[in-house]
Order: sequence, then C-alpha cells, then structure tokens
Amino acid sequence: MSFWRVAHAVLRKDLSAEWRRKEVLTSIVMFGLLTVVTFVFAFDPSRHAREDVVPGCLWTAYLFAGMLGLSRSAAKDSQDGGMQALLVSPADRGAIYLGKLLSHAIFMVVGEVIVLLFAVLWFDLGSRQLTPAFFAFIVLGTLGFVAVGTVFAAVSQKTRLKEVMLPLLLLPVLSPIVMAAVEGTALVMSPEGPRGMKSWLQILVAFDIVFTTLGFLVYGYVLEE
Amino acid sequence: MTAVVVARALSRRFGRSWALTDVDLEVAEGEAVALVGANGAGKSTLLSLLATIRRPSRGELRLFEQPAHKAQEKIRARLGFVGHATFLDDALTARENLRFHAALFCVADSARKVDAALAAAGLGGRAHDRVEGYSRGMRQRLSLARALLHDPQLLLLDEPFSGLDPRACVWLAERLRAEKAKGRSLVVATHQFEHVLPWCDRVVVLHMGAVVEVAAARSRDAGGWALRLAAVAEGRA
Repeated sequence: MSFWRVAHAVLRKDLSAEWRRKEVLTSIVMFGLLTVVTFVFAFDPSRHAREDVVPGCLWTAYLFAGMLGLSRSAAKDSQDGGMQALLVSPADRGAIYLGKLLSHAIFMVVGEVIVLLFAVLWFDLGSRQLTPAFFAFIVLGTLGFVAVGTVFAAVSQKTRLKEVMLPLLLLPVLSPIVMAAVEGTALVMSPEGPRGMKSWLQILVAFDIVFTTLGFLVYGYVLEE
Repeated sequence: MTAVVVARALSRRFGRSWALTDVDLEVAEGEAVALVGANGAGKSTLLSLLATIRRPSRGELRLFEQPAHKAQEKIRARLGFVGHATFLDDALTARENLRFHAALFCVADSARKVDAALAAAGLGGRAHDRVEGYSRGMRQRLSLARALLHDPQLLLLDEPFSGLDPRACVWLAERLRAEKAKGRSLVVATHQFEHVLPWCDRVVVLHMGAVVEVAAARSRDAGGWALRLAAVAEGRA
C-alpha cells in the first residue's frame, strides 16, 4: 500500500509542479521541433523518401529533446534539496523510481505527440506510416529511454559536469534501444512492408524489461552514494 | 535514559580528505545538543550521517539502539531533518508540499495533520499560496512543519537560523524549545549560540572534523562560547 502511495505522490507532485512551471515540456517540445525543422530543411521531403528520413529525424528529436528534459527535471529535483527530501524519508526507493519514471514518461509522450503532429504535417505522413506498430516502437523506445534516463539523470546531478555528463553516460547504454527503435520504425514505414519488424520489437521489449528492472533495483543506491 | 544517538569513532572521507574523524557522540532521549564550530568544521557532515543521507567511511553509528544502516526505513521514520535547503518545491503550495511529505512518510490522517502543522507554523492563511511567494522566514517555518509532520523522535537541524530576521529567529528558537519540552531530542548545528543556549543541554565543539570539547551549554554565556570558538579556530585551544 505504502509503495503505491509513494509512487503516486511522487508522480502527482512532479506533474503538478510541471503543470505550473512548464519547463521540462517546453524544453522537450522546442528542441524536438527545432530538430524536425532542421531535418525538413536538410532533406527536402519532396525529393527524399520519407521512410529514409523520418525515423532518423523523429528519434534524433526524441532522444536529444528527451535528454534536455531529463536534465531539467533532475536539476529541479536537486534545487532546494528536492532529492535530499526523498533521501531522508523512509519511502521505498523503488516506489520513488517508479513515480519518477512515470512522470518522465508522461513528459516525453506529451512532447513526442506534439513533435509528431508537426512531423506529420511537414513530412506529409499518412495512415500508411502511422500504424499501431509505429506507435508501439515509439512507446517502447520511449520507455527504454526513460527507464535508463531516470537513473542517469540522478547520477549526472551528483557529478561536477551535471548536464554535460548525462549524454556521455546515457547514449552508450541506450545504443541497443536506439538501434532497435530506429530500425523498427524504418521497417514499419518501409513500402516493402514491415518484414523483420518482430525481432526489433522483441529486442525493445527485452531491453525495456532489463533496464526497468535494473533501474528499480539500483535507484536507491544511486541516490545515496 | 535511552540514547537515541550513539556514535563511536565516526569518520567520513570525501575523496582524499577527511571531513570528520573519530567523532564520539551520544544524545539521550529528550536531550538537545548544539553542534558548533567554524565553517568546514564538519557540522553538516555529521548531521548528514545522523540523518542517514550519507554512510560513514569508518566507525559505528547507532540510532534508536539500532545500527544506522541496517534498519534504515524504521530509523528514517523516526527522524526529522531541516537542512540548508528547505526541501520544498517552489511551484507547489504549502499544503501540497506538506501532503507530499506526509505521503513519503506514510502519515496516517494526513489531511488533519497537515492542517494542524500549517496552523502551528502560522501559515494557515497562506496554505494555498505557492512557496515561491514566501519569504525566507515563512519557508523556514514551513520546512520545520515538514520535518515535524511525522512526529519524529529526533530532530536534526542544520543552520536553522541562517538568513532569518531577529523576529523569525526568536519564533524559531521558541518553537524548538517547545519541541524539546515535548520530549523530542534535538541536534542543532548553528553559529547563533544566543538562540540555542537557553534550551540546549550540551554544546559539542567541532574543529577540522574532530570534537574538541563537549560541555554543558550553560557553562558559558553566548559571548564566552564565541570567544572559545575563536580560540579553537585560531588553534589556541
């Protein structure tokens, strides 16, 4: 009971604070849109095949915008001893992790939907590309990203380099997730059909389970030491 | 009387430097202890070890007669900590902040206790205002209300008077005296002796991470303690 109460309290507090500040979501949306616009100018959609450009464009936007968002969120937690407040409490560290993971996932998904709406407009994407499988890759890729990102965002705040340290720590660990998400999204959008998509989906699910479990187990240690 | 804190040869290292070396400390139930010393003497490090935020590099720490790092959840439920930072989220209202902390400590009947805590802190009328609009004194009162919300047995305070105006200092000192009178144990790190000497039982003087003196608080007045600290800082003691 107390586990869910703590997870719910952390989630609710993060969402309430973000609803008023709009710092994390603004960072994610602005950086994401900037990346998509850059891709639109670099790869003219009328002269390049969408399936070649869009998966890379979307995941570049999501990953880097997401890292910015995670950094903002972790920096806010460090201000005024927000993280220490969690540390001095007897709350289950796994419950704190779950609350943080869910709040980060919600920020990411909301930011991703807004960026996707613009990408749909600018790249002229239709129902042939935006299939349930497409959204499955986005959701699973995002879950893997926030599962690892929530832990490393907390770690990076304990280092001298803070925001600079987050991508250095995160990107190497995320590489299997990024690879599976980009490849899978490209296959879903491919005119030849989504052959081989299932294996990328399985890889994503497997890494999501591994990373979420590891995050759940190590978050307390990471916060304390 | 039961000892709520028993520290033996407590030491903490950051990298190559020792912030705390072989500190022995006992705090009895209902006792108030002031930690004094110059900046960098090790007061905050000692408090962070007592609050179980950090682990000692060496030595033994028992809180409420249990090893500090074995029964952490139970121990933390009996600790209240007011640190340098307020531990409050500026974007939330006072009530939302306290309700969040009530959830972290699984406080039963939290709505009623939050209202009571806000009233006791004199913030009942501003409960729905965001903390970002609060003065330093109001934040500190709310921070104390947060630390007391779960009715801790041991209250740890790190420089609670810093940045407060004289009126706020008097209010806080009176509030801490009242908490001691209720039987709570207090450990207060401070430079402002005048606010703690009237109700503290003992003063522990720290210098460069080591305890150099433990004496009854009333063995000197505030001026006497200030002179003593200056002598310690200059290496004349």
